[in-house]
Amino acid sequence: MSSQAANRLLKPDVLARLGTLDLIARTVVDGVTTGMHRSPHFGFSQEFAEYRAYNEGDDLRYVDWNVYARTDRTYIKRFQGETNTTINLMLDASASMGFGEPVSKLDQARYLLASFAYVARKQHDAVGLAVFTESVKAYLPPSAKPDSLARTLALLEQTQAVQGTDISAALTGLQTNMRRRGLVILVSDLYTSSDELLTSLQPFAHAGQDIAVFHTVDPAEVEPGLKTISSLKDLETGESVIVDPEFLKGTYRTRFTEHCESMMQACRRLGADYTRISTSEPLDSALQAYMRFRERRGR
Amino acid sequence: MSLLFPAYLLGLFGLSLPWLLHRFSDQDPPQHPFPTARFLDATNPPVSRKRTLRYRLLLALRVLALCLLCLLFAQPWLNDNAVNDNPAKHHIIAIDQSLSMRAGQRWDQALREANRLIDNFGASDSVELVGFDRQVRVIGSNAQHTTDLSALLESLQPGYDSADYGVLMQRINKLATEQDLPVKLWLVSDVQKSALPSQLNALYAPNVEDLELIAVQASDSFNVHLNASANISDGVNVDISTALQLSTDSQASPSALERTVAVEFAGQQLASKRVTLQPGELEIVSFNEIVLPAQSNPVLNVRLLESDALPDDDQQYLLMGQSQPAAIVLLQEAGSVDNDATVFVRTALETEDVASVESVRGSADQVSEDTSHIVAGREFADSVDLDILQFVDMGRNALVFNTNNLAPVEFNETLITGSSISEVDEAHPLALGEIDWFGVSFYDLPEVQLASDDRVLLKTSDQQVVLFERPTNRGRLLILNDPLDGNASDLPLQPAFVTMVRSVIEYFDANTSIPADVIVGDRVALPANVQVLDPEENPMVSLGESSSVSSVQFSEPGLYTVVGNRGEQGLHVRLDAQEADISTLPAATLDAWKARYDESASTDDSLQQAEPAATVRRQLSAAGEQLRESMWKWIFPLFAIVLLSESVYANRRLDVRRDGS
Repeated sequence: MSSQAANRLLKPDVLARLGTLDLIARTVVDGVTTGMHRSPHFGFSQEFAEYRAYNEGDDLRYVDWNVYARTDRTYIKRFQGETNTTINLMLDASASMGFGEPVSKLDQARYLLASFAYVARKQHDAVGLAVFTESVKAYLPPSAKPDSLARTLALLEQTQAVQGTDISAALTGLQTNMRRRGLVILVSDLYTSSDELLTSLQPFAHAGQDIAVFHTVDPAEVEPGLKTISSLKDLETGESVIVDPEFLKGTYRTRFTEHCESMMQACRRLGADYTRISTSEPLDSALQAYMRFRERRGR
Repeated sequence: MSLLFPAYLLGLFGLSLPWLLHRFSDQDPPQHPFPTARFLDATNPPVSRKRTLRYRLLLALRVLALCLLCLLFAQPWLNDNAVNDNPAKHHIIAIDQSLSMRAGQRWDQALREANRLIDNFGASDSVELVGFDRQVRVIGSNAQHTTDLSALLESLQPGYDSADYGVLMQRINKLATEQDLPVKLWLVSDVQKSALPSQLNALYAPNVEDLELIAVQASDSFNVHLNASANISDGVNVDISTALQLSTDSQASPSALERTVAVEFAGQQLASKRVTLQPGELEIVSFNEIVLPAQSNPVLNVRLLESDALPDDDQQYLLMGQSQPAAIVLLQEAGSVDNDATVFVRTALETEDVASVESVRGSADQVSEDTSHIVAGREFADSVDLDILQFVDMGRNALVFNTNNLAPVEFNETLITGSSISEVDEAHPLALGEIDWFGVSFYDLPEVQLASDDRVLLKTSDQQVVLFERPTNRGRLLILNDPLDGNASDLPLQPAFVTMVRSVIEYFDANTSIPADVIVGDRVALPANVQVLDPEENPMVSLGESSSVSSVQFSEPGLYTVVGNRGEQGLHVRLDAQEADISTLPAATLDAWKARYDESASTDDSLQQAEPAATVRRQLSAAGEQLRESMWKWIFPLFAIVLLSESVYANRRLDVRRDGS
């Protein structure tokens, strides 16, 4: 399968037709890793897997200097991943995550988290999932048991976008349950203040967790395409605001961009990865970002 | 109530437009879900002020005024029928009253069909009954009551005149223009072939919306038409030629028929012949050298012995030796002797017994009152003698020849070679153009002064006037500018002179002569003081009327008698040969006739568009227009009152607003 065809398959609206999250996750992960010799789980163990020609940007630690000495060519040694880390997936299931057509932000987040869980399962990592709105609605503690993937996917499938958002309240409760260091992956539309996000994630950072924040957005909220004066109803509060299209083209976009910027700045201050994903974009970029994140964190 | 221009009522719909726009306009902006309102600022909502109607009465007055204005433009009108039951069509029942309807049971059938039609029409239908032959007569309408039409129908009888469907349709078309409703024509007729006009387009009446032909026919009936003429060759024997024609209304090919033609005088049969007739073919039967009965002006009767469908055309009267010479007085001066001119004139007048000439010496006053024409020789320069003028002013006629034979002033070429006739007034009833003027030379004609209104009838090549007519109040005055002495011209010596004199007498006689043979329905002009007796010897014109009635129409066939100054004269009124032909129109012709109206009905809209003026004219028919005016009279004052009230209320409101309250 060519990469272009794979990308087509990874588009959220195409994935939505596949049905189960299990199949979606497998499609995403295999689609992204197509063309690689084995799995994407390289670099986390000592079991040699293969040589690969050195590409710019590769970690010099993995260059096989012996081969270089013999052949005068630079090769990277790759290892079969056998790491066993703890991955905590956190999904924002507030009502605002239900926005987006034909694929909502929640759908996009579920596909993404399912893919992460699938990858983690391949690497025998312990995967946990927390679904929160104003509080934690459901929580699966990290587990490396064979059925952990199935339970995670089942919980993701049951998740509906309801109620409002209170990240700080939700994450405060979760932090106490995470004693083991690992990865914390937060997928949310981040309708909160940067300070609040900072306050919420700081305990995780201080506990040594590596944090990746995936900010899901929908094109219709980034650049609303309304042509007439319309009443916009807040999905979380139910408040209706009559808005002029000119405002949406001008002030609103500026504010939204500033908001995204502030979120990114907050993540940087925490040392967390920040990735913005759109519901109209294929998932491979997000998954590759996840891979890079793991590579950088050596996990 | 009807509306002349209902399209203006669309204005009423215009009144409701603002309300409809308001009613269906969506004032609430569309609502869309949105993830969060934290970045949104509420825009100032569209301006929408809540208005409260405070002056409802004023609004009502204004709306009412606009409604009345629309109604005024729509021009409502009423007519009696519309008020009561709004008839949809105007039905015209045209019943054929021509001679052919007398054949067989045609007339009874026609009455039954017409009665059935009248019974079938509803009370709301407008029905008009029309009878026709060569003329169209409106018998009546159901304006009063339906039973009146039935009574009128029972009183009708078929006549003896011929029918013409072209005349009928054009007259009906004219009647239809007077109607404001669509007109349907019910034609009850025997669809006689001879009634078809020469121009088939005349059968189409554009204002008649629909045509229903109800053919009444007596199958297997036949008719033989007889037409006879006589010629007296030697004053003793007469040759009679009889034309017979068989017609039938059967569409199937009929067989030959044998008939007997007889010539009778005073009930005694003089001759007879048996003849075989073929349908559609003319059969000539001749009776030669029948000895004229020893009686002055005998009347022979030629007739068919066997009867047929139309017995009225089975005989014809032949009036023998009726022509009487015109009585003319040749006026001479008292004490004078006959000169060349009087000899020439008398000879010309008495040639072929054109006239009986009586010489009177003296003035025209001495001529008896029974004399209608005089010929006189007078010296004439510019005015005619008074006695002649007085004679003519009594409605009589005079031919004056100019005896002013002055010596020539100077010698010229014309005195030797003469001049010929070069200008003839061919439009004059004298028909001088038909006379051969070749060889007639004029040498020395008297000088004459023409009046401004004199009509020159003959002129020579050197512009000398030969004959002219001077207008008078009643009679006719012709002046011949020739002394008729044989010196001034050779006119009296030429055959053209006799012909000219004969034309003059016929011209004079045109007012007083009565034809011997006319066709039923013809109108004959009567001279003054003439009495006409019908075949039963009853006077058609009373003595009191005889001096004022100028013509009489003969509606029945038979032998009439005209009694006048020339004595008693027979007048045979015979039937129209074409009308006696009872053969009917073929089905294809009837279908084609009817098809014209089917086509027009299918394109009724386009016709109405093509003739909007005609439609409006129909709508503006007399009754409708009167009643439409009455509606105008009601609505306009109401409109004015409403406008006035609106102004009063509006002013009061403005006063209140000016006061600041």
